[in-house]
Amino acid sequence: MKATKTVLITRPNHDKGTTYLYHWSEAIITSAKAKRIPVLDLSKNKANIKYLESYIKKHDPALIIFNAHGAQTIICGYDNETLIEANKNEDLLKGRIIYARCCDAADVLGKLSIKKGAKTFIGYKRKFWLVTSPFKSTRPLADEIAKLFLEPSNLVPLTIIKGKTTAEAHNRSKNAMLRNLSFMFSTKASQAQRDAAKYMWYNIQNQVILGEDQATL
Amino acid sequence: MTNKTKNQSQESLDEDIKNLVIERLKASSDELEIIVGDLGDYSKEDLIKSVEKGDELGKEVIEMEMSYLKAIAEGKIYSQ
Repeated sequence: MKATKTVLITRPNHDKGTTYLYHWSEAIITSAKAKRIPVLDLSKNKANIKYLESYIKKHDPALIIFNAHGAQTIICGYDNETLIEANKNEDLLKGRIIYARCCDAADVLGKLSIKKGAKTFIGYKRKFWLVTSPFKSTRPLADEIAKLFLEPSNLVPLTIIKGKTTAEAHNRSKNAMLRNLSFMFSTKASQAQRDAAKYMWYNIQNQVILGEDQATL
Repeated sequence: MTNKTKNQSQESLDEDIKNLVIERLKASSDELEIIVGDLGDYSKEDLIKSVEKGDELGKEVIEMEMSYLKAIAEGKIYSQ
């Protein structure tokens, strides 16, 4: 039975990295609401296992976006509480499209979740590097360096919300990263933006799509 | 080549790689802060210290840097 056309997003904000993702994810929520797609926003300290399990069971979201820290076998929430752990509760992801914006999770947890019935898992098989400007910490959305990383990353869920396939979402995101990489090599980029290119390259190499590539919301 | 010589060669190579990464970091902009998952957020100086120490972050930085340099040398980046 197909999951409901609902989006669940976790947005902890307990450190600088998650705070950046918290703010940059607002565009995803806005886009879903504009398409009249219900959004379950587990923001701040609501990004915990109790709310996650409850909302998944009650609302059966078709798309889950994890903004989080992670490791090969776990995805975390607020204060790095484990939300999903391999061989413990990855069955919560069954039948769903997952975008895990966190380190390493695609390497083990992502593959296992597909074996256990998750539809698609888009994530990173190594560290997800986010480069920011030290002068924009209090205004993440004005950070022109972080923008190079997070706008392409947002394209994964934004493309799925627009009704496109998971392959298109993954490819649009990667192509946007490559365009930004070209800019970062150019003379139009600042020194800081040019020096951030290597981190962008690493993210491009390590973003992967597992499972069904023709899945849609 | 004996095992001892091979180990010494590898150690020497590792040291060269570490020094290369450190010099590249020193030459990079001061206006960057790098966030690496739950390892935290770091300035250029923090990354240099980690590479020198050889801690978890330092190893990640070396891997990332060498992956990038290898891709440039092989022409992979420009062919994308």
